[in-house]
Amino acid sequence: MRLLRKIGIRVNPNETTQYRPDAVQEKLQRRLTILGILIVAAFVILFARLWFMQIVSGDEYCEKAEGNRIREMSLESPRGRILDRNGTVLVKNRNALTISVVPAEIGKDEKVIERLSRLLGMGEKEIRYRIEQSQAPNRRVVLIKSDVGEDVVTYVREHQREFPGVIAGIRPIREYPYEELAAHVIGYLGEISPEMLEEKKGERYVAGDEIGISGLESTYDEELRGEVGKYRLEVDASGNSIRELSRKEPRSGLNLRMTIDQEIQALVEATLKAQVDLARNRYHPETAREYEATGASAVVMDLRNGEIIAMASYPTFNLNEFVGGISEKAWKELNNPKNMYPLNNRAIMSELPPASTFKAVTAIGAIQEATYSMNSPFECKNVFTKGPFEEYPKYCWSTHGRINLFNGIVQSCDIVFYELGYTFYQRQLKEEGRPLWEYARDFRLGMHTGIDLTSEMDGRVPSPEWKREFNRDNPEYQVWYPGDTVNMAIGQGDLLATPLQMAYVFAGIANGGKFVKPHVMKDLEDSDGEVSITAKIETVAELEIDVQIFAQINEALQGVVKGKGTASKTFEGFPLAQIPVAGKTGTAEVVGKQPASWFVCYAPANDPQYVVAVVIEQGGHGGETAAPAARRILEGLFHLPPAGEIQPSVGD
Amino acid sequence: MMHRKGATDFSPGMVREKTGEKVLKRFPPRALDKPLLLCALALAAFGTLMIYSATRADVPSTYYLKRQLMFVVLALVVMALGASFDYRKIMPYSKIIYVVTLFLLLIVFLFPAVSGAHRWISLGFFDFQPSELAKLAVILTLATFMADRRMEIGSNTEFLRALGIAGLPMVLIFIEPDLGITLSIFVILVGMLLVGGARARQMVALGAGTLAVIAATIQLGLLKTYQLNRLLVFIKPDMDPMQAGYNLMQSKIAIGSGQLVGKGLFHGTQTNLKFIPAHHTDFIFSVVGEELGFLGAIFLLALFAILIWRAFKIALTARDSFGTMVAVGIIVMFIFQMIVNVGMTIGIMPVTGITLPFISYGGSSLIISFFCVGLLLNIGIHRFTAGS
Repeated sequence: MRLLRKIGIRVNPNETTQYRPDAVQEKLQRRLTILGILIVAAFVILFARLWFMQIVSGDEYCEKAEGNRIREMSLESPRGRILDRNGTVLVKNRNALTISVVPAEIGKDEKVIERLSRLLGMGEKEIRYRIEQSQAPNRRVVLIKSDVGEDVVTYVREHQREFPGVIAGIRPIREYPYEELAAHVIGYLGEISPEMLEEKKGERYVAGDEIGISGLESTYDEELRGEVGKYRLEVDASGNSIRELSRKEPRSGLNLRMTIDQEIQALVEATLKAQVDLARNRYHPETAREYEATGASAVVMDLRNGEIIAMASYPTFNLNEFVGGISEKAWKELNNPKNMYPLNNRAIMSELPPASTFKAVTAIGAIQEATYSMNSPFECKNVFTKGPFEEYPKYCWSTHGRINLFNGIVQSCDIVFYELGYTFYQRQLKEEGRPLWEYARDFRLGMHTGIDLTSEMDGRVPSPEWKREFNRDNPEYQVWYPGDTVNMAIGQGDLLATPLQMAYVFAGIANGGKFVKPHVMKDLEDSDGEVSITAKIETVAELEIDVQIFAQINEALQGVVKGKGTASKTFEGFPLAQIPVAGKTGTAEVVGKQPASWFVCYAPANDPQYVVAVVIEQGGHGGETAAPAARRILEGLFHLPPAGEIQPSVGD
Repeated sequence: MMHRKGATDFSPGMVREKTGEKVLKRFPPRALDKPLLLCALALAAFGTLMIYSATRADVPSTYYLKRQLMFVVLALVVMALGASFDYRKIMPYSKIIYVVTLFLLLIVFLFPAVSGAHRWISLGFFDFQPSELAKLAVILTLATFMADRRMEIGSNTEFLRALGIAGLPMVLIFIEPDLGITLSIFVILVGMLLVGGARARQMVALGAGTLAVIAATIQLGLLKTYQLNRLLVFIKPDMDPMQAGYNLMQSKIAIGSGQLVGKGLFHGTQTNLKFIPAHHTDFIFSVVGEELGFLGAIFLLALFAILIWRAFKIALTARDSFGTMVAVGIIVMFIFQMIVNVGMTIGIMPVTGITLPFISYGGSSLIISFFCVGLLLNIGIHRFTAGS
């Protein structure tokens, strides 16, 4: 009370003439003082709050006010086009109509999302999810649906009142005039996932962006995507734009010229399809049914510079299905195991035993080790029973009788290579010379080639260390048996390689031990056709193996397509005099499956230019299915008139 | 009744009667509270400027400015009228004023509802709002009532009678509905009871009863959903993000973004781009905060503080209890409206639709406010003179 009296409002006697009993006056003063204190307290609160809002958090509110006022619209930059080596446009862009929203503006009317859902045939949940996902300031435009019909856009424009904050716009999207052509090499686009966004933090990616998911679209995404432009509009509370504040024009992405030749690519794809169809009508006695031919792939490479001329994988898919976001149904179809995974690029993802195509490497190794020469004699009685193999005999696919190493390659005699393998095994026990797996690695097996495509597999080169590591939980499987080396000698066992890797091996042989890294991007050009980046020709390794040995192997491989060779029948009528072909068939045994048919070759053998590798999975013997495909491809490469019917060669 | 004893020996009024200057007798310069008058004029000028800034973009751009200027002129006349007679003469008429007000409050229901509320009596050139008048009527009636009882409300019966005086118009206004003015009258009642002699336990009982009434009102659904939302939305703005919450958020953004010196008069983006709703009426303070910043807002609050301080002085020095109580009622009315209105725009008070006195656009509010200033001046002027 004393305090109250002290701070109470005093009245000087000469200020008034009021008359009240002192007690009443005192009471009044006290009560007014209480009221006054309450009022002062209220003023202090208002002052403090204003201080906090305007001085302490002023910047924060300023930002919000700017966010209110400014609508940022991005100007999509058209993605770079993709051309074949001759300039044929395989991937271009067209303008698609889009529906986007400004979250801040539709936020005022719940019904908008409901109407939008009905109009676009999209779930309300999905629309909300898209809005929430874009953690952008509330004036940024969020894409809801791409490639909508003109009727949808017209409807929104005519009923804009019912769709506040909904914007109809234009966005460039992909168009693939050749649909399936080179689909695996080109790759498809998809919306960037939150994980990818996290990974690409700080780079020019925002939620809702399209990004290359596979193929060249993925590898060269940053070069292709260009730079998004933007303009900022001042808008009022109802979303009407008042004026443009700033503008930055988009810069379109670089065009990518592939090393792929559209014509050869088309031929390769058609050939694979044709051979798959033929194989499916061919009887496989061991399984007592037709070949399933579950998949096929082929690689054509210019072995002088590593340029991939064609790369095909069967089954394939239509890139246009991905435009504007793939439908859930189509996506499920593409990922259904029954459809044999059409999205996989088998040329770089299928890991198969290279089978007899690997014999070239075994032979080079054996001759380099000086344990054998091309004339070393062998006898093939169909069965191999040397040493420990007396108990576990190994068989040849035929009975070749007396035969030397040269003819062992030509006729793909397994007994010859069992001998070679067994010698490698004995020497490796005594730690003499280099073991076979090191030769496999010399020829770049067991590691990816480094081609500029995503998801390339490494394949596998087995070795005692690998076997121990691989079976570290099963000690009884860790022993390296003679059979491991012997199986490897004929390209079976645990040895695995992709079609691209085998093409690389044969390119290395043709180049006399020089390995030039394969690549698909030839150069990147700006919109005026000015080249800004050219692919490097990169020599990865040069083997120190006698040139003579490569010459001998070259001879032997040429024998495969003529005379008693395993693919001779297939190459009947082929002008081998002008364009000598060096190749090797292979029949890969895979447990539980029908054999895969391999053929790898290069031509012209006297001046090697192209290497061709073909695999038909569960498609038969090498000379039977793959070799005819390779011949067709060679005909295309060298502009030869296509032979009417190509004979399958029976045998390995 | 009043205590007239003290008026005999010291009365400047008598001195002036000798000089014969009639005008001076009515407005003795010594007794006129110039700071109060200046504050009120400054507030009105300030408000008019802000209204112009807020409504410049409308067509025609000076529509609101012209009307507000007209209201100011009218209000100044009313203020002069309010100061021109001896305020004590009102006492016998307070009952009549009260009854007429009640009658007007009933009349409003005869007029068609404007945006769902019966608040206005259409007079052609402008719509009169009797509930604004009701605030004044309650102040005058309660002041008479308390002065008659020498500022001692002893019995509970008397206390209940006081409640009744305020309660009747409150109910009518609540039905209109105008929650803001209903609350204003209630707070005026509480303030006047506090100063005017209610006992502590009576005040406690009133508090308890109020809580019970609030609970009952909500339970019985007497408050419309939008009213309830608006009342609670300041606690959790996303509760009603479409309407009240949105308004509140935009108002806060406007004020906060004003920072120290503001974005400059006529340069508020929130204001100009119409993000602030009712920016010339309920949310006029947001315009002040945005365009003139912290300094402008504090300047405005300071004007109010001076006004209130002078009113306090007048309440204390009033010659009689009636003057004191009228002054107290006016103080509570001004201060409550100011705190609730400013508090609303900065998100610490519920959205009640209470306008900012002197500043918000609107004739009724401005005229009543200036009449109150006139009364305050009147009470100050007559502190040396005995009632006739």
